[in-house]
Parts: sequence; structure tokens; C-alpha cells
Amino acid sequence: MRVEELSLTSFRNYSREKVSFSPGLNYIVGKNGEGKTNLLEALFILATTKSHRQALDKDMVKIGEGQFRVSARIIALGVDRNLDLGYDVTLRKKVANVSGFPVTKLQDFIGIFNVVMFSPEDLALVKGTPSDRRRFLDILLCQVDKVYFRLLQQYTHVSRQRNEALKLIARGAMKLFDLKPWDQQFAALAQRITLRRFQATERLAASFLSLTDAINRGKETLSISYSSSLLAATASLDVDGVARELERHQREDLKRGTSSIGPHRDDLKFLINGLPAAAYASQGQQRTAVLGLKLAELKYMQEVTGDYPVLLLDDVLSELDSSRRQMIVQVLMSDVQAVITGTDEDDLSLQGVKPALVLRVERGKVVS
Amino acid sequence: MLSFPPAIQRLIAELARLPGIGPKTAQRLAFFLLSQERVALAELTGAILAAKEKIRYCSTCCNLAEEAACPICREGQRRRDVVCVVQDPRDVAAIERTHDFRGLYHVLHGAISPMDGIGPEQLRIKELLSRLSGGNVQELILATNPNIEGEATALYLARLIKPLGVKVTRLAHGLPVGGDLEYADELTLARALENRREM
Ligand SMILES: Nc1ncnc2c1ncn2[C@@H]1O[C@H](COP(=O)(O)OP(=O)(O)O)[C@@H](O)[C@H]1O
Ligand SMILES: [Mg+2]
Ligand SMILES: [Zn+2]
Repeated sequence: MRVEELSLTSFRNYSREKVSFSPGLNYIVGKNGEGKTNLLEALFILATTKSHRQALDKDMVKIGEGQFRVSARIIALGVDRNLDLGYDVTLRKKVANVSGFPVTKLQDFIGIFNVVMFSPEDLALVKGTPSDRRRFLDILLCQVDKVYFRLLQQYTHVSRQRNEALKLIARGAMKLFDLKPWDQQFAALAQRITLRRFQATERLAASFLSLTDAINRGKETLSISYSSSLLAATASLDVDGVARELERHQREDLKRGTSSIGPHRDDLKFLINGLPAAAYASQGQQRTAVLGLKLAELKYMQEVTGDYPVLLLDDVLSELDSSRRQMIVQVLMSDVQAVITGTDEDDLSLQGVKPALVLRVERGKVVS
Repeated sequence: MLSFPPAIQRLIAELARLPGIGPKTAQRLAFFLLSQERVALAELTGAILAAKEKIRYCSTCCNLAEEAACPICREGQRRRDVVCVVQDPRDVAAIERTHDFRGLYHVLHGAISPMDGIGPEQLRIKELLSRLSGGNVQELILATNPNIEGEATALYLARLIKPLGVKVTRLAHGLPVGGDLEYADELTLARALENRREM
């Protein structure tokens, strides 16, 4: 998979800009605040419809303008496509087109173009919140699995109904009998989401282990595992088992007014020699772990879709020492298109790898 | 809007309460209505009030009717032992258009939704139960919407009614007819696979 050309209109600090990319390594260089991350963000929203920094849509519209538009020509599995995504502030609506055809459901736009984003905020993933790590899995799975996206949407909806039902029952405004339809649907969705996340993690874990071992060289073992209250409680994760678990937690749920078990409470755990890394991982270990995870994600997507996603590295090279850079270099040797940002051209002392293209960014303009 | 005389403001506000009508459309409708002849407006208000006065719920199926029993319930040739439960009178019309269903209906007028404050008591479920206690109904087809609230309502009814010894069935979740499998949306396809049947 690769992006040939990206066009921006009134997006962030860009008025109107067209950027061509090389199939190999693209290096975007510029001082802080000039618009490097904004370019990667534009590529990210073409893949997922959302900002990687969880920005609101309206905040991506250039100040003083009413709408933004981001388009790209991409090649996926040898097929040429034009992706186009616009957002209008007054209509508060996103409109998408694929090769000139309007996309009626925005969710159908997700996953046509695939990316793996690695930005400085990700370096906190190991010690961050479980919700950050679930978000990582969700972004990955939504890009490669349409059913997953819908399941997640429905699960959020059912959870809200169930929470409301719990509160009404606790207040005596609803009968306990009436909780069952919500439990049944919650259980069915929770089971399917948990299973998908678990299976994805199993696959990620295998490449994660070998990628990180290349750096650690047996000094210590880094691993990841999906930690789920449901998997822990039910030997084989079936819907009936989940329903029984819900029943078992009913009293607690009624007291809290929310569901105490389910994929919304799960975690993707990092382990060092089998022990939770969140508590004591060093800076270096965290870096290795996150880098390993991102590269495992890249491999996973390639295996599932048959095409490498585009690797987006935002300002992280300067954060990595030479052995960790070597991990990236290995990936760049293969067929992966990468767009990397940095403040200093010398930063790109990637052993043996020269950027195919250097783009200099200054105040919302690509100047070379 | 504040620059309009109060009477117009009031009309716009009333129109904006209608479903699917935003403030802009309400404004357009208000000015259109004002441009009409008195007679035409009397016709419209008359129609609204007459509909409100004449329309009531069928005493058997709770569908909209002008008499105690709706035309479908009065029809002699229909099977009285099969009842299809739907959320909305428009769903009756949709199923009737198939000309394939010869049983009777029961209209719930909504679906269970805690977030909207709609519980079983707000729906026509009491009426359904008293209908079933007559003992004539052999099969209940649950044809509520294939979304979360419709499914919850179906699950609720199934649990409530199965112990009464009535056969309870649910409309199948299937693929759209006449389409290519390749273009079916993933969740529909996954559901259809889950609910496959032996041939
Ligand atoms: N909606 C917006 N309209 C105009 N400028 C914006 C908008 N959002 C961000 N910017 C500007 O974009 C610049 C930051 O761009 P960014 O790509 O994050 O910089 P960097 O090159 O450091 O990665 C800042 O100058 C900021 O003021
Ligand atoms: Mg930046
Ligand atoms: Zn009737």
C-alpha cells in the first residue's frame, strides 16, 4: 500500500497544498510548529476518519475557514484509488468519496487506506491507561475488520442502555426481570469483541516477541498479552459463560450503575520476564516495547490484508538510539512506504538507509 | 427569528417541533402557510383535527383504526392463530405489501429503551397478553426492528410469552434478496451465516 499524492485544503495550518510522495522513505523536515505532524494527521484521517491525536473535527479546520478537505491518490493491492474526505463546520458532517463515488456510510471509508502511526505520545503507552492500550487495538482492528467496527459501535450502544437500566432498577423504577434483554445482547457482543481482541493479540504477541528480542538479545523477555476479566473467568469464552459472569456481577453492577466486566474494562498488558511492565519498565524498555508493538502491528496488517500499511513516524527517531533505529531500518528494507518527520536532517542517520525524498515544511507550506 | 412578529415566531416554533423539521425548514413552512388562502388553511387544520378525533387504536391489535376494530382484524379470511408483533403501524403496511402474510398483527407502538424512558409498560404489551390468554393464538412472530432496541423488545417478549405455551418465532436476519453476496454489509453477512439453515 502506498500514497502517491496528498492534497490539503484549509486543513490545520495548510491553505492549499499538494504533496507527492516517493514509494520508499519520505522524510519531512522542519522546525517545531511548522506543520509536519499535520501532514501525518491528514494521512491518518484518510485511513480512520479520525485524528490520531483525538482532536475534534472542527479543530482540524483551518482557523477562519468553514470546512477542510483532504484527498489522496493511493495504491492498494495494485489498485489505484482516490480518497477524499471533507468536513463542514456548520453542517457538522463529514463527507467521503472513493474514486469519485460518494460513500453513504462513513464506516465504509475506514480501512481502504491503512496506516500505522507512531507518535511521541505513544511512548507513554506502557505506563499509560488501559484505555489508551485498548484504543491501540481498536484502531488496528477497525482498519482491517469491518465487522469489528460495527460490533464496537453496537457494544457501546448496548452498554449505555444497560447502564441506564441498571440505574433505573437500583432506583426501583424498573423491574430486575427487564434487565435480561440487555444482558443477553451485552453478552453476545462482549464475547465477540473479546475473542477478536484476544486472537489479534495472540498474533501480535508472536511478532512482538521476535522483534523485541532482536534488541534485547535474550537479556530479558518482553511480551504482550490480552488481559480480560471474561477470559479469566470462563474457560472457553462462550456467550452463556459471559451471561453467567454478568449474573455473578449483577449486584455490583447495580450498585455502580455500570457494567463491571466486559471488553471496555480489558487491557493489553506489557510484561517483562512475565511481570507487569507498567509498574517498573525503564525508559529504554518502554521504547523497545512500543516500537515492537508498532512494528508488530505493521506485520499483522500485512498478513491480514496482503499489503503493508504506510508507516507514519512522527518525531520519534530522535527519541530512539541506534539499536532501536536498526529495528526500523529492517522494516524499511522491505516493501514498506514510510513517512517520517523530524526537526533535523542529520537526525536521519539511519544506517545505510537514505530517504528517497526529503520534504521541507515551513509555516504550512511544503517548500521543497 | 426575533425580528418576526410574535404570531409568526409562535408558528415557526410549533412547526419546528415536528420530527425531521429544523428551524430553517420550519421558517420556510411558516411563510408558505401564511401565503395560502384562508380556505386552504382551514382544510389543513380540519384534516389534522379530524384525524386526531377519528383515529383510535384497534381494540384487538392496537393498530390505528377509525372504528373499534381495524380493517385487518375485521377481515374474515385471515388466520387468527398467527400474530405478527411489530413496533409501528408503518411496519404493518410494509408486511401487508408482501401479500404473503395472512395472519393478524399486534402493534406495540415503540420498542423498549431505558435511555428514552420506555419500558414494557409504555408499550401495548398488556393488550398482547390479554389477547394471548384467549387461547386462540398458536404462534407469535416477533417482527420488531433488527436493531438493539428492537432486539431487546423481542428478547423480552420471548421470555415473557414462551412459558405460556405459545410458539414464539423471530423474523430471520438475512441477506437482501437480489443483491450480490460480495456487496452485502459485513454484519448482515455475519448474521446470515450465524442463522444459516439446513437444506
Ligand atoms: N486549525 C488550525 N488552523 C490553523 N493553524 C493551525 C490549526 N491547528 C494547528 N495549527 C497550527 O499548526 C502548527 C502545528 O503544526 P504541527 O504539524 O503540529 O507542527 P510540527 O511541525 O511541529 O509537527 C501550529 O503552528 C499551529 O498553530
Ligand atoms: Mg509535530
Ligand atoms: Zn386490529
